[in-house]
Amino acid sequence: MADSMTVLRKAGPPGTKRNIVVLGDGFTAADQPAYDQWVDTTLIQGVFGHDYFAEDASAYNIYRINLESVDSGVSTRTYDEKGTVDPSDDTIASETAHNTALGMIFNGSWSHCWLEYGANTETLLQAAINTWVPDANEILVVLNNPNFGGCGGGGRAHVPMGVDWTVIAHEFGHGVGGFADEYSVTGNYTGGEQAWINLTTITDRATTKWRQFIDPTTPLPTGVGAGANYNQGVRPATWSSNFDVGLFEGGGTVSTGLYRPVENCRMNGNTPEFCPVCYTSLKTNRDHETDHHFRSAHAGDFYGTGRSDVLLHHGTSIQLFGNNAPDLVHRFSGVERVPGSWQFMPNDQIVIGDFNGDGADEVVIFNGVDWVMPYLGLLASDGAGGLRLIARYDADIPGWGGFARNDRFFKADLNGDGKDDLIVVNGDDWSMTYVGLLRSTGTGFYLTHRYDGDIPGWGGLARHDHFFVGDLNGDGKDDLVIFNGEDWSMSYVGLFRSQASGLNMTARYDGDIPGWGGLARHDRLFLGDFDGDGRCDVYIFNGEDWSMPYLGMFGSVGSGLAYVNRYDGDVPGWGGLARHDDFFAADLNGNGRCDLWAWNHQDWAEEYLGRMISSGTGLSAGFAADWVGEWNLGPADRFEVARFSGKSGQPSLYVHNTDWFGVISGRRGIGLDRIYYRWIHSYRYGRNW
Amino acid sequence: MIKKVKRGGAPRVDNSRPSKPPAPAAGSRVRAGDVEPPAYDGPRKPDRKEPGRSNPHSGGEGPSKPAQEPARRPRAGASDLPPGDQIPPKARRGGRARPAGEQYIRLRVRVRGDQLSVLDSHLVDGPLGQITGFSGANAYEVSVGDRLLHAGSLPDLGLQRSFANPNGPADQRGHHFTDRSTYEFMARVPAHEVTPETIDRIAIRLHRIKEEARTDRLGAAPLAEQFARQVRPVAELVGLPASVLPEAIEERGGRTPSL
Repeated sequence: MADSMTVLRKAGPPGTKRNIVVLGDGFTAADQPAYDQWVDTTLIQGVFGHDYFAEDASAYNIYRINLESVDSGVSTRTYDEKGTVDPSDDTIASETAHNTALGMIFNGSWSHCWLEYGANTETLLQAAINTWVPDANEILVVLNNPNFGGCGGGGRAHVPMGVDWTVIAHEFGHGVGGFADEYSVTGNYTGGEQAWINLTTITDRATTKWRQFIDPTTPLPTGVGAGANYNQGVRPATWSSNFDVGLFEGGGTVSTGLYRPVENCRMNGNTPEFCPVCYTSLKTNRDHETDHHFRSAHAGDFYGTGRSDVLLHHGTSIQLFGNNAPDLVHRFSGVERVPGSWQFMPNDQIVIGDFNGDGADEVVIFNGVDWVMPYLGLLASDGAGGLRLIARYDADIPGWGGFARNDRFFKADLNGDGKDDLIVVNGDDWSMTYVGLLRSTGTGFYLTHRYDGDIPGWGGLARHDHFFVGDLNGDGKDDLVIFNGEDWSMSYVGLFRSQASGLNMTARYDGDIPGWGGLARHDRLFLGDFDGDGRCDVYIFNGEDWSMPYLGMFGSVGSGLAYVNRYDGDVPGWGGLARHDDFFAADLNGNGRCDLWAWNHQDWAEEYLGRMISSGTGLSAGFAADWVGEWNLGPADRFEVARFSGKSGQPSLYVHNTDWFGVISGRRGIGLDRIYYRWIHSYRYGRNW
Repeated sequence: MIKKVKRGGAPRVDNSRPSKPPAPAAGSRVRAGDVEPPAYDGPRKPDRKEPGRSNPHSGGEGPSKPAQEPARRPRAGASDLPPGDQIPPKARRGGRARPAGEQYIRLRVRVRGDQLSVLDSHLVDGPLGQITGFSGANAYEVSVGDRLLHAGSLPDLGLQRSFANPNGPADQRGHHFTDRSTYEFMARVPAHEVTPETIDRIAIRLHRIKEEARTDRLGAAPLAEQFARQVRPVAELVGLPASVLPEAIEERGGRTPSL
């Protein structure tokens, strides 16, 4: 076996990421599996499988270099330390020389940094890095030696194999984060304030370094004495030694005179997570390297809790945040790919649904743009909080005749088996418009029907057909509604029932649905069961074609639509329908009737977010103007209907733009439940802006 | 632009457009046929698609799909996982073919007191990002004249830290620190900035960080100007050796692997 390099994580171009390079010394060809296993267990599953490094995995390229040594195990050296920790007078007591790739020596002496370089180690190390990897910011050298120890500094860490991941994570706190130690050994600090991130001498509440994370009710200092924990007053029962911030004496290896942020951070006890101060510093300083943003956020119940979790798609990576009400908590990062494999790209089209009927959502991704051919993938739970690819269709799914760039996918349970299926349509890439029905098996899809240019009765599929999914007749199977206001001499609406034989048209409305006063080009449909009868109804809005905007309610009678109500120019409480009103259908108050969120950021002096509550036959509205709590509504905002908390309905909106993510509640009025800047994290007190 | 009010008056009306006929009473049964819908340019929809006639605004220029195969449910246990990765449009195969895109130079710099020297240099393919926060012990900058070319943080430069000995005597329960008189760091600079014209004026500066320095957007001025209070220069090198010119690096085979 020759020397080699394996990219363990490819997050992006080396100049835009932190590059971690792992090298092994003292591993023969036969030892390489043990080395690989150590790297996987300690670095990938350990350091990058937990808290901060798991969350920001997309900031780090990780390269593993396999160097083949002649001898197994590194050279060793023993010092006569003369009974002191001062190494200046130590002499070498014994040595064993091994022929290894980097020539490193394990000495097992704390005062000699546990290990040391041989005469050619630096040269060999530089040569290996320059040969195998594009760049290196952090270098981790693993010695084939079973003992404990380790030597760090200058962006490097060297460890024997007896070191666990928490020690490496602590070391990365120094090498990546620039943090000081937070433990105490001995001594009193008498110097001035320095550039520490996580230590301070300042005990004044108004000026101390991490004051934004300290609850005003927390005494300062919070712990007084050598390496003190909370001892100034009664420690609150809910106090977290890891996450509640104060000023605790002892840190930077000295016992007194310096203060640390929490009782026990990773920079103190290795095992705990980074405290809010260290975490926020890492997040802030590495933020631009993650390429994270909130532009592409998707709500889904990925963990089967009945509440909406969040999937963030960052272009070439994803993150999953589980809804551990009342907080969203990071559960998974997929960088560049998930096992299976599916590789993420900016033009991924995401459809979320329960495709295997297990009560939790899976993810379908289609990409017709970024690859040499279009791909469709089904990602399901990996059993550990993440996702893995379980089916992939390259360029085609049998019977569809080839995926194409503008294929669009809709989820729909077409046969009522509890597993969401897919409807795929394409009106752009072929000589005619095609519609396909893809049945889910739970582990993949197969095509059951394809409609070439027409679904019988519709009179011809056309480019600007718009498709909507809902169970119109309450039979447990999702049906299809098509609207076309562009391609014909008038606007049309068609209703198609889903049956074993495919889609069967039950009604077609040519130019009008009675009571609407004429279908028109810019009619927009929103489906939802607004009367709670188990059948999906239809809201229609038009803000463009008439002298005033109109909003209509048409109830499904199973085989057709019946006029229920129409609002001309206004819905009471909304303050006037306007041209660019947009709507999202959802049961906001959990009464089984589908209501509407209303949104307008273009037609008025301020942005408006409203809720229109259905009585079954009518709507009553209210709105928030410009701000919802601390959320400043703006044109860049995007919304996802969700259930953040509660047992019924979908009363929440996940609102997001590049930098901000919020949770808006509409169950009773409109209020803001959560707001996050740049990253989702729940601080015990304070926040990162 | 006006603001909404909770109880608006009459709706805003554009009389240049038609109005719908009055709405029927809520929930009333309505018969079809009383309305003349707006008419457009396209054809009227037939009841069924007419053979041989294209639908309006069909792709037209594109091909037709091949004839549909009979629907077939996959066998139980059949895998829909094809092997291999998705294929990018222009598959690049290993090697060291020079890409047309950006490159940067990685400089290995030695620090001895307040003296800096360049030990080695390599060319790296790809763009070079710029951080905006500097924390920890040190930071470096590469500049030409008063223009910052690149800066980076060096969190734990210049010291050697032995891991705490969890099972050792009390005085070994922390790190054993050794300050090093000579040490090295990597500085990075966009390759296109390093030219025969600029190379004599390019400076590398090592700063000590007095206080965490952070900004939303790093400007073009040297760090000492942007963070006058937070950083102090401790070592400097003005003028780089000709060996760091991109062409010279390329000539000696000093480009790192492109992955």
